[in-house]
Amino acid sequence: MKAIVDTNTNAVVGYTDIDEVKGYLLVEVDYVPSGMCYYEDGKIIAKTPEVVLTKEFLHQKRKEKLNSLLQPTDYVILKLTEELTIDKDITANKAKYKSVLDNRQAIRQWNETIKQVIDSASTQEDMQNILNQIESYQGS
Amino acid sequence: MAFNSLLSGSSRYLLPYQIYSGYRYPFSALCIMQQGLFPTQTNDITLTANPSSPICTVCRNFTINSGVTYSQKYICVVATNSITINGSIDCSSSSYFAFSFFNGNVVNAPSGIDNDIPSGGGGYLNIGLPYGFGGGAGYNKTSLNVNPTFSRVIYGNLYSTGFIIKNSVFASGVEGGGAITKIVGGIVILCAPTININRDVLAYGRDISSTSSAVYGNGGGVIYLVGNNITIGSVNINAKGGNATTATTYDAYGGGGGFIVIAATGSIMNNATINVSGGGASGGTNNYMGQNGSLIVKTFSFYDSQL
Repeated sequence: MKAIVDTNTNAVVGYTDIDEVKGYLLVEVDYVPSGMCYYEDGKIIAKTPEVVLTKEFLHQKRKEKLNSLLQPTDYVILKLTEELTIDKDITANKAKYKSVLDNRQAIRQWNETIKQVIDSASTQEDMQNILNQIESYQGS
Repeated sequence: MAFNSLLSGSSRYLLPYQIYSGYRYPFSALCIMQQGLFPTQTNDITLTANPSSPICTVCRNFTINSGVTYSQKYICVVATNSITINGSIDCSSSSYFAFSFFNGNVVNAPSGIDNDIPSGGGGYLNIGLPYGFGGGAGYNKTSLNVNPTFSRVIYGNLYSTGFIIKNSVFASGVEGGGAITKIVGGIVILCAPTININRDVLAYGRDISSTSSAVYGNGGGVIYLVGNNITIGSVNINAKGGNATTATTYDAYGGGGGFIVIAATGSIMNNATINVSGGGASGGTNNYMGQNGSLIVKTFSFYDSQL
């Protein structure tokens, strides 16, 4: 049996018993490698994926989420601001867009909360949980 | 455990319909053909144009004529004599899908599919993880199911889960995000005693880009070529994950590579350029390549006790 090695990444992408798979390096192995394996120093090495989450990454994901949730209703803020600049009474429009404004406030509150949670995270497990929270949050 | 030991009886008997549908469909179909138990087919199908809807069929001979590009989200053909691909196959979809193919029928996959299914690679949605053998999306979306053993590909988790349906589910790549067009790799299943591939067979996740958001690549698809004798010319067999490109203020994440299995009980003549790579990532503050998918090119016997 031969491991099929992607020569760009040295990752084992599979196995074969034929003589050539174009574009790949074939390495004789005694057993079928499974899971994540890499070709290093002439050998096939199995590796457990090790992913390190950082606070910087989580903050970036938080900002992306914040932007993606606020952007669809930015026009409301723009409209109200414009009205203010020409001294127009915005009371009626504030009432009209109350649910939008409330939702934006809730999103901003969530953002402040998650910001603190990220800063106080101390383990990879904490950070993975936070990442899951960020990815699943869809506003109030 | 050898495949035939299940057929000839074990402590846990399977009913005939379970044998037929319970394993990965193309393998069960080929096995039953070799035993002379597959229903006799007399119809030949020749495609002279791209059909208006995807094909899932059983026939005697199947041909795609030269000059034709089959372009649908999946194709599943079991032919009792031969499959000849003189035109190209290009399967893709605008969103993730999972189907169970059986004897010319297609059903949507039920919920509860597990990690042990032939699936394409991951994009970023659905947490970026492919459900099965494809690679994960860039950064921390790594699949733990790449490079499955061949027995796992044939048997799945039949004995550990008891849910037979899971073992006949095939899933596309997972779509990415951040760009307008999201095209994932589709599903190609071709099974026949004799398979001749003379043109490209494609099920790759398409490249995407955006300059106004982070970009998450599209997952690659699934390609199964299962037969007695398979001949592949100087063509591309591609289930790669899609590349992702963004602007310097955002991050780019490549799509996960897909899953290709080329398995024959007789011979494999292979001159193809095969690709299950994870998608590249470029242009961003951080660029995370997609994880490579899985590739099996293997001759085997249903009577091999070492499967």
